Amino acid sequence: MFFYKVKELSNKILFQDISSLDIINSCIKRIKKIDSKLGAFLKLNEHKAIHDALNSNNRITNGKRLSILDGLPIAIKDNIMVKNESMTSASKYLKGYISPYDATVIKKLKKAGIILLGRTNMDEFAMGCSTETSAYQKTVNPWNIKYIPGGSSGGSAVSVSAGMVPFALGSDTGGSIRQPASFCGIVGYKPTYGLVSRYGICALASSFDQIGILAKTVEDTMLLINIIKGIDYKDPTTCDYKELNDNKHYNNKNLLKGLRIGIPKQLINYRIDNVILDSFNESIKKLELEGVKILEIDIPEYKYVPALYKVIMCAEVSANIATFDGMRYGYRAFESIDLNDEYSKTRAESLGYEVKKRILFGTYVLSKKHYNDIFLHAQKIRTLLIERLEKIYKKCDFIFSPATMQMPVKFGEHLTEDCDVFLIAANLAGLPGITIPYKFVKNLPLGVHFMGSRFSDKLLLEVANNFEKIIGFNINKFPNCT
Amino acid sequence: MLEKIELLTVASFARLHIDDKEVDGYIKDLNKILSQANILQELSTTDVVPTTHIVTKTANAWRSDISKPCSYDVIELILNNAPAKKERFYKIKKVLK
Repeated sequence: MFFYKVKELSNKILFQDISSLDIINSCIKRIKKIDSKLGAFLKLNEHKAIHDALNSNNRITNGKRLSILDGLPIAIKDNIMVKNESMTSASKYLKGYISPYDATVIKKLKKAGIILLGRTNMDEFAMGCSTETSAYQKTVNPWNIKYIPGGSSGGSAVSVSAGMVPFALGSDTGGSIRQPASFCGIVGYKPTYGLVSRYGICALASSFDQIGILAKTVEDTMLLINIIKGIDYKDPTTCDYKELNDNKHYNNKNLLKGLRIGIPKQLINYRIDNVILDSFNESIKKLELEGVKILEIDIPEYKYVPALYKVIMCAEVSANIATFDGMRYGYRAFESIDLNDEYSKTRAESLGYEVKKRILFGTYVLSKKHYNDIFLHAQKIRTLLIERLEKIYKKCDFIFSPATMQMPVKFGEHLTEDCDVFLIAANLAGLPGITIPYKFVKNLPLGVHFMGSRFSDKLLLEVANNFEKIIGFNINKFPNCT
Repeated sequence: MLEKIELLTVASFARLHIDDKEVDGYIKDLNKILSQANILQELSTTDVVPTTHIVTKTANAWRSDISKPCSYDVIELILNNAPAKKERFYKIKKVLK
């Protein structure tokens, strides 16, 4: 079952070659067979999923299909609210927390008849890039279990890559969908900031966070984004996408011909794994053969991206995590002298080191003494980066780069500070980005990244879809999970 | 360069207890981030407007100032998440002495 693309599964359900229940049972069987080794799922909703699949079967039989994706299973990162279900954000602080409402994306999935099969592991409060900071379990790369899956949406990436679900939702604050997708050999898509509602997500850094998709193919991604996008009065940063350029029609056949793609000149400044650089140069040649115009672009502000991200993200973390005080929900340290002591001990006892480090640094840069010199200065450089990118997009349609500077590393090894620079730039400027698996080297995947201008999502996905076809990446290659 | 006294001040701002044995680790890690952030001082940002939000087309999401009833089930769900409660109230330590 897990060899099929989403559209194929959808057609099989429509023509009643297989039922939603068959698919759900097949996914549950595979999860039970391999996930004890991979650690992708924190929770499996077996009974509820079977119940929902039976309902979907009835709808299909009676011709009352809710959407093209009715009856298909999805995995949800454990920082998105599902009413009456636990949500831990992989933190001890939220152990036992039950969501009192649905996130907007979850409401949309339910309305489309999509079945929520389980919750996936992640870095604690999405703070990390390897899924190792989870307070609950280790998640491994299905292509080689000695290697990290990436993060923070590592569980979602593994669940799709290993064929346990056809697609999954994740969140992307600084590459947290696209980096693990690339490390696990699948497609990872972060929409433009404002395209998908963030209502009901456990916030990390609010001006960067974006819910997005992990799937086997770009086409699968396109089907799902049409379900979850849209304006939401509960998230005022959402925009009406249709008002922008959703109605443009692109000539798919010759889409790549004449397209202007920019390659950042700054690539040479980074320490990039040789295999990644060679593959990237090879992929540029493939694009040129399709008639794409390749332009060298200069974005000097890329040099400041890792520092900018750390300063602004940590500042936002310190503000967001301040709501975790142990009063209305979550962990509470009862052995305390007074209220302030209770707050301090609650956080000390329930949060992991990475989270505490970010709270401390964020509080430091927001303190009166350092606010202007560090935080405000960083927000000004962020303006310079955004303005630079706006100018660049007048000259070229997309920016093309390797997804990461490094291949996945083994547990215990560290990624460099610059590893995700090209991914993080999209979060700093609120732009859409998509990573596509390009090839395997020593049975580990590597990917490339397309980044578009604000709300160029439709064209971005179509370009990515065309690119995926010309590289002929074999989506039927599955890891043997050893 | 961040030192112990400033770390403890920042931790008290953040209402975050730090054990003595953790102090050296935090100082080392925070100074590492600070040294990375120092690269930002290379750029002059005089007359640059700081980014406050990255969405240009926002409008305030106004709602009528009318209270809406909340179902008993939802109230129960919310209250059941409380670490301590009494009847239909959160139970917390005294705020005023």
